[in-house]
Amino acid sequence: MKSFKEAIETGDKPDLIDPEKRKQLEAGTEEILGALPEKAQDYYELIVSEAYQKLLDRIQHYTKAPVTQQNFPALVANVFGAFNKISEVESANKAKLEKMAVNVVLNLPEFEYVKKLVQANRLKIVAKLGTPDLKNAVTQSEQEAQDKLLPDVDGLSDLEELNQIVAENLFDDTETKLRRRLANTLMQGNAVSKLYLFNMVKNELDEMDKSLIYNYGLVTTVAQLFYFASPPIENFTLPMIEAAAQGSEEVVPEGDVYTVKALAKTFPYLIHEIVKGIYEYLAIDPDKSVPEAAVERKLKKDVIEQEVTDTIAGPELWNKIFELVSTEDQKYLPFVYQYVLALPIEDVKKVFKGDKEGEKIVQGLVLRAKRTASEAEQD
Amino acid sequence: MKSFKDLFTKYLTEQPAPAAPPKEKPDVKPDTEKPSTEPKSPPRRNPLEPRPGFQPRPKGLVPKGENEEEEGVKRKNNPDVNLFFKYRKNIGRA
Repeated sequence: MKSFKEAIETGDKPDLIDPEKRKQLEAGTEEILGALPEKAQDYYELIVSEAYQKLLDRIQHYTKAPVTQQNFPALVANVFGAFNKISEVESANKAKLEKMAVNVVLNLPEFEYVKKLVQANRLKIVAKLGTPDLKNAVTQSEQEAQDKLLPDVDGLSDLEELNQIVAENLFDDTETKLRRRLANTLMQGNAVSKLYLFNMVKNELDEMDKSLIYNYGLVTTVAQLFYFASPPIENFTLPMIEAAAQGSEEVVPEGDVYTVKALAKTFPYLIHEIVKGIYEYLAIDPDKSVPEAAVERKLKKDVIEQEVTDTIAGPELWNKIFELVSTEDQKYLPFVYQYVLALPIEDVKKVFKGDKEGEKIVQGLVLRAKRTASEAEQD
Repeated sequence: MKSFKDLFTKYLTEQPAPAAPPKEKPDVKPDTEKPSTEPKSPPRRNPLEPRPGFQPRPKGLVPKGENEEEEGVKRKNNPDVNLFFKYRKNIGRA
């Protein structure tokens, strides 16, 4: 039972969290709770509290002034001005920024092995500054409508149809859904944490325009705050989402390779979408022992609304794993991510708890990653 | 749509023998390689790579419902419950 004290703590920061959003986050209904340590809701509220307080610190870093109830409206107004300035500079440097976004990501130690896949033409990354493309996304209400419909199996053989039904009955269980939620929360969390990577190319950005770094910092941090400060939106529609989205990613199979297609309105979000696309790619099939029909089934469950809470809770959850991997082992993070997604759920909880046991599990995963990567390189 | 029971019965009665599991995807490779009498061993893939042919749904960052009251934006494509099936049928042509 809640005491007078709020479950999501804002600390010494102003409480800009929308009351309805707060209720949603404190309701104990998030699916990801199933992968969190004991007292999962308390744990969830703690990481959301940390995320909120860190975010307000980050806004202050860029604006050089603490966020208050009073200056928040002006801050939002400044964001719109910043978007206009960004748009002006980016339109003059579009191709350069698109290339830079890919390079910033692939040159991170974390993506060393992904870069090798790109260099070997096993993975393509197409990154464009432009309008997000979400025409194939599915909203919660559409998903619910689909779930009520019996699939039209036109064109399938009886065996394919049978396989599909078996897959639905055998593999669409709670744990499968939970693993997919885990994959999505972590990929979103990691990608959110990469929103600020534009700082790594400060010199190049300064050459384009000295105001870019400030404006990027402003729009990314304040946009993140919107996730807390805006009420939950019911009945999302795709036109609404397409109008509001800052970026999109899609991983598209082409023959036996894949293409990550990232689109975003601005450079920081383009980086974000590239990272999300890469981790989406890594999350497609982390456990090759899972039957293909079950993988396909799992991928059909994502709805776009989930990204809102994934964006709020994801960064701190990702950090729990990130912090357990040493700096020199960052290049094994893509492997570790895949292995975590295939761990028994009880072990996932230990990893998030971050104690000695969780640390030992992650260290084991890193060792396994080193062996696997080494063997792959010898082939 | 047929019921599970119908399909399963049909499957059991019409299958001539407990044949090897049929391939779900047509093998479009030319016949220059050895006949596939042995279990197919797919080309060695990087361990990070997914098996081919899966397509997750796109994702997009939606910071806020700005423009949420915008109307008249025509849906370009109605997501189809059978996207997966249509996609699967296209794999062989890819």
